[in-house]
Amino acid sequence: MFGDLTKPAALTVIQRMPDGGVEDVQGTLLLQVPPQGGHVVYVGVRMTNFEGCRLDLAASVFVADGGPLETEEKRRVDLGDAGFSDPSDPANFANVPVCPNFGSHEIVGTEWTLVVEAAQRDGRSVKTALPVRFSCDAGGWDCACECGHGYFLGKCGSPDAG
Amino acid sequence: MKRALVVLLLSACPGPKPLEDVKLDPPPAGQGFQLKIEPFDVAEGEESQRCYFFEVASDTPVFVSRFEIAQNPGTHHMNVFRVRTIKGLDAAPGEMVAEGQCWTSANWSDWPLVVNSQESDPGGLGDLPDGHTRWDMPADVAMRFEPHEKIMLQTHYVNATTQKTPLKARVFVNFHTIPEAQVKAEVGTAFATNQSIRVCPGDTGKYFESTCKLSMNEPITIIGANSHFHSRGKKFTISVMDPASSSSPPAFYTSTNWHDPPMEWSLNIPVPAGGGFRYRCEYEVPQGSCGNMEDGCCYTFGGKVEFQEHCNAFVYFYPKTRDVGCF
Repeated sequence: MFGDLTKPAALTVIQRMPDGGVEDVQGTLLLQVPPQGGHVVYVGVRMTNFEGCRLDLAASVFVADGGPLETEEKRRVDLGDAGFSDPSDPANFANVPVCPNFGSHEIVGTEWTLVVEAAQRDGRSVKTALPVRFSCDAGGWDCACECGHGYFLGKCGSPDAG
Repeated sequence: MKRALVVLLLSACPGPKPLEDVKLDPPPAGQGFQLKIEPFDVAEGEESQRCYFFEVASDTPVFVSRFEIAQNPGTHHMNVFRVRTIKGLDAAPGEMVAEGQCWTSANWSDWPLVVNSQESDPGGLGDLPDGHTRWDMPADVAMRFEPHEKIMLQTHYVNATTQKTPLKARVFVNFHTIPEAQVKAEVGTAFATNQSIRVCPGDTGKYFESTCKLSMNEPITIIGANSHFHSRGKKFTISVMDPASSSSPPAFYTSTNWHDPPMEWSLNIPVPAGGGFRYRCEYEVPQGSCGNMEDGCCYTFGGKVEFQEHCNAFVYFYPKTRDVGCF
């Protein structure tokens, strides 16, 4: 438990960085390559006045301005001792699958809405929404290709292809 | 007299059926083809994963409307993929890669799924012999393969605590074809895998849920689905993802049987344009069990059944705009 459960809960959205640290999300989500391939963003939370054990964490990406759902990931996590998602393991974050992009919208360069919700075991929850843009700055060599709209399996080849 | 009658009745009761190797005749000439592997032993306490490469033996496109698969008991999974970008795994048609790169899932991250099976327990499905499964696609719907297209059959057998392989590993896959003129829609596939999972001794109700988009601008119909995790997996559900809603309708697929999950081949699930599916894996890990001793005995993603976990969904749909991989 972090803080006083009788007071209003506060949620700050954070992301796991390539160097294994965390930063507050302030408009840019870094696309990163997980071991299995593709590109994900690692979305976590820093909570105040909230239970930290067996927390249901959900991160959803919508087309901006009330548009449809694009992708979402939910999981049950335990927050670290300091009240935020522990960056020592990516499994403590929502691993939101963003690319390959089989959809019709460009991922990079357009605005999206990220909605993050945390719920305690007793159902008490808090949610926040913020505008975000995705960046390939920390992505793999194929980030732009894989995250472009209308991806198909095998589209990007490999860096050694002739 | 009564004792004699009892003895007679007891001796008339059939004992357990002796296990026999599966058999599967190939499709009749001109109506398809068969993939099969050279049978191999799996030593006690071991598990083995092998990747076999084949080529579609046709000079013209072929359209497959039925798969029939036969496997000896002990199979943990069998997946067939179309070969695309080569990273660390490749072989010529007719050759096989055992272990090594055949365990590294990144090698087939952009290889479209063709078909899969996890029928491991003896016990026929209706009129099918033990070890067999069959998938008939809806009328006028088929899966297209290009001339000489390269495909890979991956088989994983386990002969350890969680599963046994009493006979040799043996796999047959029949591709039954129909003329192109009969085909009105092609089948697409989706292989979705959530690999950033970690469950630890004492965890209960731990879950991971993710979405996988199938459609760009067109409604589609899901016709088949199944799931895959290991023995800590307690419940696997798949439901429709409607982009206009953040809540989930009831699941159209549920599995609570990790080693022989339901292979749903007769679905008819509409998905709205821009939609797809959600898949959710729930786990429970007994205290005292141990996955990775160097990580607090926790279980993370990997193919080794005895001490790793999976969270994979297999979905089949039409009309195909493209095959999908979500990870």
